[in-house]
Amino acid sequence: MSTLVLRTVARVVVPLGVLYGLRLLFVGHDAPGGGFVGGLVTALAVLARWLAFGPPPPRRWERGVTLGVGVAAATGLAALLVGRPPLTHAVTHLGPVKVATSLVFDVGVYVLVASATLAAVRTLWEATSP
Amino acid sequence: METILLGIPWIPVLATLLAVRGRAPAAVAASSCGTVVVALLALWAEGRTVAAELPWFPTLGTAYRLQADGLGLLFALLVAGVGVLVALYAGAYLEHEARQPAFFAYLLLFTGAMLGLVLADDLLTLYVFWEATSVASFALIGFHDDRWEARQAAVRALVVTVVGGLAMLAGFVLLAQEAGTFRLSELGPLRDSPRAGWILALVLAGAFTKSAQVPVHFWLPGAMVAPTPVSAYLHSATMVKAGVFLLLRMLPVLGGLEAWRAWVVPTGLVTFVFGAAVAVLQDDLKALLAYGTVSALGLATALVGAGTELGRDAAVLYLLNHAAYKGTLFLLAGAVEHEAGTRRIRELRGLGRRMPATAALAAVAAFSLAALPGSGGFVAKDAVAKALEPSLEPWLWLGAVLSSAFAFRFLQVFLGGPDGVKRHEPLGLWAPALPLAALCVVFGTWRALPEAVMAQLGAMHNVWPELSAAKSVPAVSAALAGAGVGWLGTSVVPRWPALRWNGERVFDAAQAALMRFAERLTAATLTGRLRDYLVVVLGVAVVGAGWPLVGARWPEIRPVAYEAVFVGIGACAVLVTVLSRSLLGAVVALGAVGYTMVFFFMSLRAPDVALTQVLVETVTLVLFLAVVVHLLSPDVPDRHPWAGVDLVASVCVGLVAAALAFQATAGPPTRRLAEFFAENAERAGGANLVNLILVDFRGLDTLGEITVLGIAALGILALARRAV
Repeated sequence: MSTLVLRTVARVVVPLGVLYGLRLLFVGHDAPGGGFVGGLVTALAVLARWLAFGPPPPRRWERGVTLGVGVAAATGLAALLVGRPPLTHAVTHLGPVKVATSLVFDVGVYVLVASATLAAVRTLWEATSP
Repeated sequence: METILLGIPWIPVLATLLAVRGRAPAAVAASSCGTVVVALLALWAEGRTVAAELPWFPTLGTAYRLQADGLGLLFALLVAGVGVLVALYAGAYLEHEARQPAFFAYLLLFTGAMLGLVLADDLLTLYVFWEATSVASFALIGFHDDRWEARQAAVRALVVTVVGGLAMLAGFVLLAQEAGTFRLSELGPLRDSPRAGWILALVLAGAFTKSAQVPVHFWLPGAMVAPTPVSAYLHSATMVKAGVFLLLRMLPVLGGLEAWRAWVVPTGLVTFVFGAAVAVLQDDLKALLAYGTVSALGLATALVGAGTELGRDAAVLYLLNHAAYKGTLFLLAGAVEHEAGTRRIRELRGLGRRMPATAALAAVAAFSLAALPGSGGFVAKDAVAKALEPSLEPWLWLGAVLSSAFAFRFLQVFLGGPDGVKRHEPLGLWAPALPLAALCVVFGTWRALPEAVMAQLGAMHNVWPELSAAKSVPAVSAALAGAGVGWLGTSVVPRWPALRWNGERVFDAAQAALMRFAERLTAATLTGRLRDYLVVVLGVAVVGAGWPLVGARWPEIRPVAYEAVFVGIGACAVLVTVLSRSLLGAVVALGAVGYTMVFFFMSLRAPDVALTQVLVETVTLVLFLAVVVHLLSPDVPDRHPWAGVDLVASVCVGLVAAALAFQATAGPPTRRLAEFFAENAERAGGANLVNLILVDFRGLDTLGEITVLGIAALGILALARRAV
């Protein structure tokens, strides 16, 4: 599958895809996007790279999975520290920049979705490649 | 005081944390039990009933409630006091055991649970501690888990007591509904009604299984595979008494029912005589003591069953004395086994010369067991005789003779000439029995002790038997007759038939049958073919989700022109999927079906959902094309033998899914939810409602979903690693 065309396209498309995934994550609060979709786009971009250049050696994907769930859960529990019910979020504006705690939660979702997808693909790849 | 009371069950539990670290666990266990004794004595000295509670399930009306009333304090002192001695003894007994820390951890967990049980003032608190003692008992019986008999005995004990415990829980819930409270001390006498009958039956099921009444007594002798300290502590002195303790607690509530006497007294008497008779026939020291315990529990049950105050007090006196002498005998039986290497009475003789302290203590305890004048057993038996109806007296005599008989058989191992084998007796294996043996004597000679017990129970009558010939002669002659029977048992009759009339066999047969059934069911349903599972899962989903839709009202469908176009495209893609001759073609066509959905989402102005749909379809497609296709043969087989079933299953699933979607939109359109989200978007500070719902309004759902996703990914990783 690793053709010259695919490799050339991948060199351009993969970084753009990762960036686009991150963009979806950050604009999610106000425009179509969010952690789930962003994670999927990032995973797809990385997947395109694997198709073009071959998959990397297996990594310890469970770290990404636990990190994602951990970040999301920790954000949820953080509200307890200020005496609010879990998963309460807050928004403030630092000048023109909007800062929302829900973004951190969404980062957890993003990390989890991207790493879970890649982990599944990479593992099945390993198991099925002749 | 209130705080101390609430903390008492947790002292041993916290001590487990120290015990598992492995440095002198016996000392940790003994000192934590000692601390509990001190705390209990402080509560005793308070001179009033201390009660305390912490909120637990306020909506259920239940709480973590403890109360140190007379009965509870007496039993708690018994649990903690014997706990100290057993911990010291176990340190010597399990000297060479590598898993000592685990043993003491289980023992301490049991102690904590048992203390909670006897001090509980709430039905559910009591229940939780009750089951905890069963679990700890399971771990201790099966402590030598490399042996099949130990594991099987543990399972038998657990199943019997937990099934009884669950019945008891049902009884408690009914009782609390009837009485309007879970609080033990607030429960009043229950009036006769069909419901009261159920409550009684269920609660008795719990008490009888725990206290090993015939016919479910079999788990208790089986539990003797446990290390001897466990037999002495759980299966003689404390846990098995929980059933009788429950009867004592329930006496004011259920004791007035007519069925109470009719059920409890006969069960207790049958167990009493049966246990004593079987005990005489045993050749194993511990089995002999275990059946003796069954017998004693039967007598105590019968006493509580009498329903009188005298019966209650006699039962408590009897149980306390039983703990003293039977605990002593168990500890000494363990010492004999430890030093002689066997527990078979026929193979043991003349141990008295080699183990004089053990023999002396055993003699003291046996005197109390035979209820000879001057022993605690005599005081208790006297109270028992007063409490039972005169018509039941012959039973009592029969039981007394048989008790003396097995007491004598126990002592026989010490009689006779030495067998020439050198033995010694370590201090740690007899000294812990000394206080218990001393109690046997003190209880029978020092009047203040039984009277203090009675005062704790709030009893008015005198229990002290003035020694007289009229009382001593029958007691002594019963003991002598018993000794004769015991001597006959060992010496004259050449060999007793292996008497194992037992629920044990019934239990094992039932268990084996259940396992066979499970294996067959597994073999029949788990074929190892993914397709079969899918048909079952989908079939259940179709029936489960489909039957509420039968007869539902259907909304009017108003198709819009452009929607018809989308549907047409989708339908074409479905046809291609189904009819395609190659797997690859089918996968791509299936992807096309998914992409058609995007049109619908866009036409409904849901860009987020559409975006997600596109991406999920793409990832799935890539996954299939790059990976999964390798797993399968590239061609669809010509004639699939189950194609018909597959077709029916898929069509049904599709129809039910479509029907559900229709029904979901059938009701009058509710705007409330949408309005809520729109109104509160401002406060959440975002403009994308879908995202706000995901991360904020329904954040808990998202957290749950990503956890599931994460677990699925970890599962794939684990499976693949195993496969490679």
